Amino acid sequence: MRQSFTTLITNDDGIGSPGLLRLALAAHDAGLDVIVAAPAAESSGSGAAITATESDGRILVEKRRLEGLDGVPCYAVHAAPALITLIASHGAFGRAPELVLSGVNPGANLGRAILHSGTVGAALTMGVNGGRGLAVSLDVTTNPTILRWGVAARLAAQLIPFLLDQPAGTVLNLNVPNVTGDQMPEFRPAILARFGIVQTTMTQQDQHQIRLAVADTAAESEPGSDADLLGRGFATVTSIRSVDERPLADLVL
Amino acid sequence: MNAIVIFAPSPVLTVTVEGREGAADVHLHAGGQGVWQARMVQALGSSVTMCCVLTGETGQVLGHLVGDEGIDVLAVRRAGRGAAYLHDRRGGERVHLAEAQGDPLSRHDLDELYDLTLRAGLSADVIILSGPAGDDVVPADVYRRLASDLRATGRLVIADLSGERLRAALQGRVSVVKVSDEELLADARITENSIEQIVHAMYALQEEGASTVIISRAERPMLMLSNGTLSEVHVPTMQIADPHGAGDSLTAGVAATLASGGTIEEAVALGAAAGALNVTRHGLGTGRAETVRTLRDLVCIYPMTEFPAITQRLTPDQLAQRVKDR
Repeated sequence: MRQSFTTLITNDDGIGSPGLLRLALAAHDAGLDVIVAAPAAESSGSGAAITATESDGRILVEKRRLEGLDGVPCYAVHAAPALITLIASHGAFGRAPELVLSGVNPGANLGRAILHSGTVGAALTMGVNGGRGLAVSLDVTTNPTILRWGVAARLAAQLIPFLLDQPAGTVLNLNVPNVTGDQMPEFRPAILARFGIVQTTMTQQDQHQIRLAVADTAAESEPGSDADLLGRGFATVTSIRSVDERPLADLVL
Repeated sequence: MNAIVIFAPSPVLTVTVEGREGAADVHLHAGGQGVWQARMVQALGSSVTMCCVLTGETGQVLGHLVGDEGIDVLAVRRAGRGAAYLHDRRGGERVHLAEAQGDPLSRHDLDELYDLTLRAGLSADVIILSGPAGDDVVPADVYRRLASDLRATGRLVIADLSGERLRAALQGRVSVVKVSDEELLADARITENSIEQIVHAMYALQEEGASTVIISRAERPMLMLSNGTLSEVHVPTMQIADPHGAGDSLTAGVAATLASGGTIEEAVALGAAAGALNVTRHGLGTGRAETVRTLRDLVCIYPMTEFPAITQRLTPDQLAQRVKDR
């Protein structure tokens, strides 16, 4: 049906992530024309940063093979996901994608704190570059022994036809609970919690990295917010916007 | 000297009738996991000694067949029924006519096999523990004792086992364990063949007593857990003639590389290449060994992102406090 849509799959925790693979497989199965270009290393909390590593004036890129994606171009890029998305939309990896799917991130990205999320940063970057974006995150705080990447990827795939019907610039943020058993979580539209939660990494002085969730724990008590609904077992969908001007006349002078 | 010792308790004599009705062609070959591994190890240029029990007439023939291939055989020789099978392929299909698992080892034979293997192992670089033809030929506990005693003398021990024998070897601790995804399923170490469950099982195997864990998955990339890093091993796809021997080739390639002082990554790359070409069962010229080495250079090992454990959850206030506390 939508064979011709070129779709970039990226994430912020790196090309080796199981969540990325599941998302790429789901997009491929949905008939999209898939390109995978994801950071070579962990880039959580990079927001819309456009940092990269260069050598002789070229951004470092390595071709990769991903299981089950024979024939799909896959690249490990030594850059933050927003930069990968920016250069992809300017033809760095072949045909410019119309759509970016970013994730599946291990850990929820909720509330206004998603400003700092690399997963969301990539989706917003596609939005300001004439495409559409979907950020996908899996809440790993519940049942952490078995992570249901496949459930998150399947829900993301279900949103794609809806997203492609929307005007260019549309960006959605999807958060999926880590369900047990065979039940599929129900979609719920949600507003952003005041702060919410965002995932990042901190590098210790010995170069060891630790994962960190920065969260305002009061977020759950905001009814109707993404944090509230996700906590109640729903897959939350929020339509988000990145930088936008606001008329000066709206300000109190 | 890159010497490898293979513990192959009961090799199998295979008798295959080919050709046509009235013009039959009868083939005698040595078979069984340890024999296939020994052939591959030898083709890769290491000297190999097989420690086994040779039983009765079939054992006598086996001893000659294996020895004539240039594989050193150290054997406990005994009377009785040895492991053998008889296949008829004259109709094109392989028809099993008879199969013998072989008599279980007596206490005395077992002690002798154990001593002989330990002695050979002490002057080897790497010892491969492979399985017997039948389930009841040797008690599983011999694998625990061998692993434990060989490791105590600083030898590198590779276990290519499953089930109870795997559990026993892990109790003794091994340097490398190689298991297939199918074996993980059969051993109920996983309930479904998913990466998530396999990774979980790999950490469990490490915990049980293996420094490096290698999981083969038929035509899918292998997984490796070594030195705290989880990796996937990609090999260019080959037209596989007979996928059954691929696991034995893998083990042999790993052993050959480790015996010559290679790293575990180099070992797995060569093993993956050997497994992909799957040359163990169909005779090996030196040319094939050269092809294995060429293919090795095309093997890619990628580190996998670890499954995240949220290590910490902080509020913005707590984050700010981290500056103030200094």
